[in-house]
Amino acid sequence: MFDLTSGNGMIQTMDRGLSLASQRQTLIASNLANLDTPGYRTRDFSFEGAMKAAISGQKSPTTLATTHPMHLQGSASASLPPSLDPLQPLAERNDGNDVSLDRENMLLARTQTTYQTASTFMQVELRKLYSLIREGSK
Amino acid sequence: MSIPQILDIASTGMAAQRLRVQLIASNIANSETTRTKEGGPYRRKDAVFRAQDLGFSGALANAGVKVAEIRTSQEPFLTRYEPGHPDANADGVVSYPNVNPVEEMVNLTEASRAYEANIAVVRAAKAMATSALEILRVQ
Repeated sequence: MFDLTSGNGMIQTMDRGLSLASQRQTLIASNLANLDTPGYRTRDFSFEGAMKAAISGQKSPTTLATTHPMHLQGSASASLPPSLDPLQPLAERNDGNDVSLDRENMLLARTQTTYQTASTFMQVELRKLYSLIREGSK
Repeated sequence: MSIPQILDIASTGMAAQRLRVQLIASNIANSETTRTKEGGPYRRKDAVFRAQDLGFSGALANAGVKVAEIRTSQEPFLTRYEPGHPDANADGVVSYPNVNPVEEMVNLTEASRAYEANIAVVRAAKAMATSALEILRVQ
């Protein structure tokens, strides 16, 4: 059956963008919750790198080889590129914790904006499909 | 969908910081207490946090926070010469709790900032959930 959404590149890309943004937000939440945990190190991945890999359809190194169409593929999000953020914290405090409140707050706002942008684009694309369907039924 | 998980992580952070503020409050309230159930003056209490893994984001583990232990300070007591005090020793010296009010105020400020950071995470997660629901409004 012809599927309007899984064949649509825009919706697929935005879908990946939404899931990566919420994964990154989860890590930012972890970093902020552990602001005062001794020995905790900042956890993050490169959103841009992961998005690039998703768009170019690049296979991650953990992709399983399949020799039969019914073989299951493991989670494609298992490996995420390491963070290349120039704001990556360098200074750790006396207790071995290197979480920077300013950096995490900035990333929190930025990731939220990314998520909202992706969801708006997705909505616009679905509206287009909806109006196509409606026009066709006239 | 990891938004419920974001809220879980933020709530562990808020609970931990709230407990820390409670301990700071009892330290400040008892900064002049010379008698306790265990005997002797009050000893300063502090929370030690530990990261607690809650699921994964790709290869990276998400971490909530939990209070590993509540540590009682073994630092020496402050002493003051007050011969008229009922808890003074033979030399007229009274041991007071090892609580430094300035240190407690700095910790209080830090704990309340960390609590606010967790609130900001909750607010961001709520806005994200709302914008995800907006996708459903196609018409």
